[in-house]
Amino acid sequence: MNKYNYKHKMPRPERWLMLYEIRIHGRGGQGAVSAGRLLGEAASGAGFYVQSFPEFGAERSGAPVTAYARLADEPIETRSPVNRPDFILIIDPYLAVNAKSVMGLKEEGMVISNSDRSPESVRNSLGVKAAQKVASVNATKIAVEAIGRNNPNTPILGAWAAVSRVIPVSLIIEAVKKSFPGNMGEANAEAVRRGAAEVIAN
Amino acid sequence: MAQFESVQTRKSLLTGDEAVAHAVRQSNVDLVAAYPITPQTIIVERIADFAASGAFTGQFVPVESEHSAMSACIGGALAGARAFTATASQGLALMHEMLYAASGLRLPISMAIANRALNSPLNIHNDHTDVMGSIDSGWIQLFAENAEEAYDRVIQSFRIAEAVNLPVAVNLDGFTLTHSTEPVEMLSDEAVRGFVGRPPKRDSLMDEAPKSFGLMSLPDSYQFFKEDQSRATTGSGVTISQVEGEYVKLSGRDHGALKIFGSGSKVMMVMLGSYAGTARTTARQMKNGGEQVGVISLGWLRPFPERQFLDALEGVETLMIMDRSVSYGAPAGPLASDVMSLLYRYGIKRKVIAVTYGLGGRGFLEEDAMRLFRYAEKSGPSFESFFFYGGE
Repeated sequence: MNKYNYKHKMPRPERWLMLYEIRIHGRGGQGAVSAGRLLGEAASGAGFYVQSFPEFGAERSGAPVTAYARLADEPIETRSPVNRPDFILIIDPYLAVNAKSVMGLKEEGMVISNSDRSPESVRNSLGVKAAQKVASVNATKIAVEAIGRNNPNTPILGAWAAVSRVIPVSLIIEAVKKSFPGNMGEANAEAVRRGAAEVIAN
Repeated sequence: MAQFESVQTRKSLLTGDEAVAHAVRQSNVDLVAAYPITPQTIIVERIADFAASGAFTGQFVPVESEHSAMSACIGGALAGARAFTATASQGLALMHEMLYAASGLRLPISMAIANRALNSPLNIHNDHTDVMGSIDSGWIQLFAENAEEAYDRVIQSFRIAEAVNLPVAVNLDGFTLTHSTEPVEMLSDEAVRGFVGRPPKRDSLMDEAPKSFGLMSLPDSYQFFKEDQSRATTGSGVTISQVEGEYVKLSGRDHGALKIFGSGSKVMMVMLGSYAGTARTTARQMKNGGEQVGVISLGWLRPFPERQFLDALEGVETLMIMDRSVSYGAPAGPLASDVMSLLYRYGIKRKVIAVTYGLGGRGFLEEDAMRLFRYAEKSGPSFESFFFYGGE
């Protein structure tokens, strides 16, 4: 039986009234895995059942890292990685030119990318379809200015909350403050706020 | 990362490893002796944190190997302490010799196994090769499907072990459970402490009158001890159910010997561990489309829940038994062999398809579950009854 020769199309998962599937691309050290966890914690505050996990074994500094999150209004039992995401969060700007990053994005899905370029430019380099949405934010610049180091994960989360409207930005800020003690929490909260304010969608 | 609690679900978001560490912190444990190994590492790290901050009040002994970890637990248990360790893969293999000492001495020791593949080739990812290598070492073997179940079963393990005088291992899948974050509704420290209490008094190295333990036994008595141990393990199911029943009153959560989804379906997939959730998600969707498929997820493997398993076979035509380890040269994988010998012993005939899958972290997606269900539904008289899936 050949694993890669799928003959059967999956039926729609009708049991979920609401299910958001999210895939996060970054590089080891940028906080892609933490972003998944923070996103889960924030969404949990909005009453979602959540699940977040990394693509296991790839967490080496500088190597591409993928993390996943699911938000649903029922307990989540599946352990499959997210292959048909509603949202793709690209934390490393150099992954925003790689079409592999947006593989499997749903027809009306959305990409939120760290980039100093316009959403149109990101859309073109990734080959994202017209029905799909693209948002870009210079998360690296925000992170360096607000946090003092290149951890662009929290501004991307702020941008995601602002453009997706799945959960309020305030919940991301709350999760960030709980996860990072003291000044780091404040700095990351500022990075989330700026990510939400400076994101440009198209 | 700091703990975060959601108001709506009253659940903390924890990885499986963190959930286990909290269960140990709350369970009046006297001794933790452990050596870190991926993917169990977070358990040991968190318990070390708890010990440093004073949240864990027992002894934390960072030993130099897993062989020593189990040896220390045996010594501790012989002195009357409630002992816990955690390991995985090569660590469990190195511990192997002492596993038999723990069970043969009838010591109540608890252990978490973060299931992982064994060398060679080197692989840190999940399968069940480690636990299946030790399945006959005389330990009660319980399996968790999610982080919350791992938490619950670790708390229960102390009560079970002390009631039946046998060591208990709680298995949680490496990475898919140990490193995934999900909601866990922890009980209050007081509730858990009240539930586990203190270990009952038993003959101990600390008794005033000197005693010897672990003596030699010659052919006139050895088999007697082993038969006794075997009876105790087979009979421990009653006690496990009692402890689980008490825990339900406390938590509302009933994991039991096995979980059945789609009772009486024509095709049943028999699974151990976290991928049962993936299979159930798929079965639920297929059932909505009118297909007769279901999932039996085993929570106990030793003792094998014979009665509960046989009860689940009403109306079932095909059992697809999913093994995440290999018994080289055997007629089928270890779980499939268990099930087949049980069926044969009770004269029950079912079509059995034994599948080996998911070795060394090989993924098992909803698509995979669906393809396998369809294979089991359609397979005629000439079906392939034992094969590796997904190994191309």
